[in-house]
Amino acid sequence: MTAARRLPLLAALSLSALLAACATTPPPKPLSQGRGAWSFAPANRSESAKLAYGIPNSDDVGLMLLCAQPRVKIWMSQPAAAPPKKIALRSGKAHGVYPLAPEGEALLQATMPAADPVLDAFAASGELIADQTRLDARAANERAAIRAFRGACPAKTR
Amino acid sequence: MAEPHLIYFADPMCSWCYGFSPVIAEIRRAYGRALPIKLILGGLRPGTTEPMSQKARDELAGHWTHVQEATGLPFNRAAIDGEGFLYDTDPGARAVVRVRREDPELALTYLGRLQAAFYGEGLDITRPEILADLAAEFGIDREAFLADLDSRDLKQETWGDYGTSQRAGVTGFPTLVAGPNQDGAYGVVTRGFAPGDQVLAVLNQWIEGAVAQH
Repeated sequence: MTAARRLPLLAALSLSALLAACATTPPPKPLSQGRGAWSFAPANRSESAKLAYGIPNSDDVGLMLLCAQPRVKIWMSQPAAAPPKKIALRSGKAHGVYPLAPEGEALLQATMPAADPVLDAFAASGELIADQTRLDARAANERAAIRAFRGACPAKTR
Repeated sequence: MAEPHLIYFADPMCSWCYGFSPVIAEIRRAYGRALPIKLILGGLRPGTTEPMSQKARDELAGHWTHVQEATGLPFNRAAIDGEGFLYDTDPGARAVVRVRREDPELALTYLGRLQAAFYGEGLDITRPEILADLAAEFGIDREAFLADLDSRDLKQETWGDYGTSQRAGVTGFPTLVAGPNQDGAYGVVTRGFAPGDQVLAVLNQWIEGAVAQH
């Protein structure tokens, strides 16, 4: 009998009583990492290079950087409780505060210079704090994605 | 201690939650009331006051194609193409909380109905009369529903959900959590969309682990 076919039987046994009675039953093993990740999208015909932090297959991108030389556009999800008036980014000792664009949409928007030291520090370390939230890259492929974005959107254009 | 249950963090105007709604229905069919699902509204974009630009509408519709490819569900962009459309998730969330007051199980069904209406049928679920019409499909008193929709206490209750979601560290929707065990521990089943067979496999493994220990 497959696990799926056993479900109604298990339900009949009262899952509540069963699970509550087991002192050592571990919580379920998650399908996903349970955290966001950085991903890079190279420039294409309709859009320039993009770097986004978010949980895959979910709504609410935490932060997105879009190359718009000589600047970089920043999109950040809007906290429900107290939307900030600026976007603050910090990577190591480099930090910047960027005023929100007047055109409000679903996400908070601001821009930063492509030559901003925060971007260099972020590319070097993979560490970033957006307002008070740590969005550090933890996996090698995330750090590679960040470096790829910096490569596609450098501080100085030729 | 609370009975074991699932906690579902979602939003009526969250496209991946729309994609996840058949999975939630599948879980409900499999377990019924033996494993209740508590719904917490996440607050995706509440309180937006600026109409969407054409560029933002196109970007949003472009994002929907990913959900469509993963789930096969239909999408209709008529609502977001409406003149002056405000992507404010708060009215829909309040409507779900209003239904939840009457029947928590029905709130899950109503949430799925709102998502199908917005994404699949192109109905603007930021409009109170549409929310009321959809609630009336489930026998909710339309006039009482409309009277409550803008009430202060309903807003407070809904924003209380958003606060719960934030305190739980839920930053993306859908998120499904299961627990507690005897130690009071909860575990993440999935953050983000996952197919029904994978989600049910995780839940089955959890339950069979409990069976094996008896």
